Amino acid sequence: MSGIDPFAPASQVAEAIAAGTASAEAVTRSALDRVFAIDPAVNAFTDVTAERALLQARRIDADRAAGRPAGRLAGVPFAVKNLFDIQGLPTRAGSKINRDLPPADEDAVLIRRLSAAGAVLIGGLNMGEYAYDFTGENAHDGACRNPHDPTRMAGGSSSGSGASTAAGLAAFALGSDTNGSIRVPASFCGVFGLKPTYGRLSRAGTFPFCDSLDHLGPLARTVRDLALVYDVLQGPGDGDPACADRPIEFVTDSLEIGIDGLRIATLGGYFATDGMPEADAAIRSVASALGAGGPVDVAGAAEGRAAAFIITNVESAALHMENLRSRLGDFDPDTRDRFLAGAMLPGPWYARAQQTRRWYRDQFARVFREVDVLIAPATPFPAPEIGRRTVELGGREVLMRPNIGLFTQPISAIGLPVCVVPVVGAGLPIGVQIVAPSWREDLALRVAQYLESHGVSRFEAPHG
Amino acid sequence: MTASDFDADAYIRAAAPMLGFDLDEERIAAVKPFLLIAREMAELLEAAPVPEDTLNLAAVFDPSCGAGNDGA
Repeated sequence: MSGIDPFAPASQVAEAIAAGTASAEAVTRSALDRVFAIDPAVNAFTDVTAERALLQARRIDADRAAGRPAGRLAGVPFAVKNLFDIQGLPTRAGSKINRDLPPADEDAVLIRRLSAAGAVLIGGLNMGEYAYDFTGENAHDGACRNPHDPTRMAGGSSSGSGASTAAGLAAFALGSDTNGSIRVPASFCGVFGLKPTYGRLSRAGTFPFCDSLDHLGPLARTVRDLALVYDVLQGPGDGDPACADRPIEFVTDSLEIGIDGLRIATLGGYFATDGMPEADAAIRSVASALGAGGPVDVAGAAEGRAAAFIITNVESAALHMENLRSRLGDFDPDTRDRFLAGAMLPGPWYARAQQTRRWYRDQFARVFREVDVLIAPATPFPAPEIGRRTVELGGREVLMRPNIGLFTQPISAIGLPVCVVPVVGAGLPIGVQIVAPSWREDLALRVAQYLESHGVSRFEAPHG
Repeated sequence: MTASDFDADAYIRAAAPMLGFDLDEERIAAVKPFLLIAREMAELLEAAPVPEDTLNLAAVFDPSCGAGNDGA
């Protein structure tokens, strides 16, 4: 990348372009060349938008030459999970069926905000079909592979978002998270991920999975990049009825405040890591660095997860009813039968799930009267081998897919903001969740920044 | 009723035609485990100590149509 290495933080790339030590076009060409050279082994990209990327990059360089101010992310290459509308492409959402849709008329709202800040979209990314996935496997586009070990899962459903960021193919990526789909790939691929509060970021121009639980957010290689991108993404709903339309609350300037005065505790009980050695080591390392208290037990975590399971199953199935009747054979076998089951669940189960979710939210609110930030494991284990169906947890052989989201699902069930941080250790990456009260993304990111600046958490480039 | 005595097979055979699904034996067998997992989740929810005689749902309809919110 014109003297800038492919793993350079987005903030450094933007500074170099703004200072004129690198051109946006050269950076974009370098990023595209790297995608064409490396992605065949990773399979993170499903579309490469080279032409529009180069056009935008030349415009950025021309603006700079004319003395016009550069955007905060000028010339930074990024990519998006392919459930985001990209003008001129059908929004496939990981499916075969959606490829028959007409091309999107315009970009999703969040892409438009990033483009306005100068970030350069270089492509759409692989994902689990219709986001109903934690593995990164996809029957239509092939499995997305973990850059740290291509025999292993990237995690899902924002698999390409995690893998492209970890492989140095994009400076950052956007993903979606309904039950853990940003946080699981962040953990498996060893990058930072932010799932903001439910209703914080506009979902307009994205293909839905489960309206009650869908969130969008960024993945990046540094906390500062995550914060820079998140600040650009904030704004009004612009067509998303679930968006809370809160005032923009910038976080980048408060990153370095530190953790003095913050009451931090480890989540226990349901979130205990007995029999999960890698997750246990990661949580202990973070707890020790933060001087965390606890463990704190929150009532209702298992029930909250159950609520998220039922709500996801019912709402997602409702979205696909017509295709389940007429194009059943075109679904990925790993989502098809779950959608069919979801279509059959009784109405009272769904109502009870929404009722329980509200009750469970109140249990968490009680804990947040005594604590400012909570920490919990992100995944019970590091990335498993692609194709694996079961895993040993606590001495028992259990099904893999339902358990990957064991620790993420009860948090997103009530929409709390979470930053996943990759924890430095031996072996494959694994992440820890930094959980804050609603609308306090700033606290989660401050704690993440503290961990990164103290060497407890950091992105490490894949070997080879 | 507990998950163990829930007859998922019979339930699928009754529900599928009502929903317009034409499922063969292979599909019925494949859907069954997911219905059983959902039943276990529903049991957890039924046992949750939510306040009795209330129905405070997390999803609440907002009747307003403010700026940037089309009310859809």
